[in-house]
Amino acid sequence: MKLFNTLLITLVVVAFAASPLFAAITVVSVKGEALYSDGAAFKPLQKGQQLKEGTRIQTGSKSQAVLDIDGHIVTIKQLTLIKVYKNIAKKDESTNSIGLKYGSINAKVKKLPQVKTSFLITTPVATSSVRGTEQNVSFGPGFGMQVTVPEGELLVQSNGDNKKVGGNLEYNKGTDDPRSGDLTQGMQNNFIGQMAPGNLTPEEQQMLNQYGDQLVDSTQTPADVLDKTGGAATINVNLTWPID
Amino acid sequence: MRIITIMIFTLFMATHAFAQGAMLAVKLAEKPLVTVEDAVTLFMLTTDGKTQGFTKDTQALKAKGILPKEYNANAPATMGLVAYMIAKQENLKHSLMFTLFKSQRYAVFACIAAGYLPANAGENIKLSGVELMEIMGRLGGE
Repeated sequence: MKLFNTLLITLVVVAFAASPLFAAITVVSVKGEALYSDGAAFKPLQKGQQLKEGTRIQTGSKSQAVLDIDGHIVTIKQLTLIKVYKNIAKKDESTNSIGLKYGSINAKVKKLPQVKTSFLITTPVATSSVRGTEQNVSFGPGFGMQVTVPEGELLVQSNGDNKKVGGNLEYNKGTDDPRSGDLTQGMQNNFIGQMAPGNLTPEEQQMLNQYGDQLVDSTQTPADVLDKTGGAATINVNLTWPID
Repeated sequence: MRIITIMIFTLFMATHAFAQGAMLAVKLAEKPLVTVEDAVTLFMLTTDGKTQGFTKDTQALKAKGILPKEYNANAPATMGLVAYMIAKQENLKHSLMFTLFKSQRYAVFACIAAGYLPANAGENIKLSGVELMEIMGRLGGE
């Protein structure tokens, strides 16, 4: 009998270990304050806890929770509410869907060999589908949906407006916008110096228009700056693209 | 026995404080309009990690010059007020006019430039709970 039990347990363990996937949502860590609700009232979220499909998770200020969803790692940042809509895992298929109501999350989605992986992050304005990549998604009524992809690339879909996002591109779509914004906007703000950025107030813009020319000496020429006698100058320029 | 009682009390207090911030977020999410008190409480939790009650929090913020001298705890929180608190807390230099005049109007422009507020933000716009959390999320975010 003892031998039979040992054999049975071994078989069960081997069966689970051999299976490439089984649906599971595990709380990897909780920093600060996080709550979960599986339909009833919100309760404190604990490390190591198993969650069910349909669970909502809310984080507090200066807090974050990390979930392992079928081997994919999702970090829920502070003041965020998500719901795990779908968590299905079969032998050759892994389907997960997360609803981001507000706040921001980071998702690292593993590309599993011979497993059709679908990992969707849905906000009220668009859905991003990701495979074998890392993405940061945020949503709120003011900024709308913003997606950046530190690694790999993904597709963001919204009412037939499909955008492939990767590299230094950034997806932006406001709650009232029919289409997403320029994907290079973030890059422009980060890498290209602007003489009169759009963030100037009208008063500052007016002041710049009226008195801006007095800020520089208009009589000065490049030769004044370098050397009035002329000659050759050596400039070492190191261009790096893209910037890390 | 006394030690056990103190330990249980301490644990209870710690658990209570632990759930406070996330529960506040749940409650704020349901509010179509938040008050100055809500904004101050969430601001303290986001910047300090703790709140000592509205009266003490406001005294501390006023002493640092982060909160304007005149406010009403039950009045709706505006983008101007929140922007002012953020601009002062983060010592923003993104607006020349704010550096000169320290007004809520220019604090909004400074916060837009710094990425805390969206481009269509306005001084007198009243905030909902989710809007307040979106802004505070950026303040304390990585």
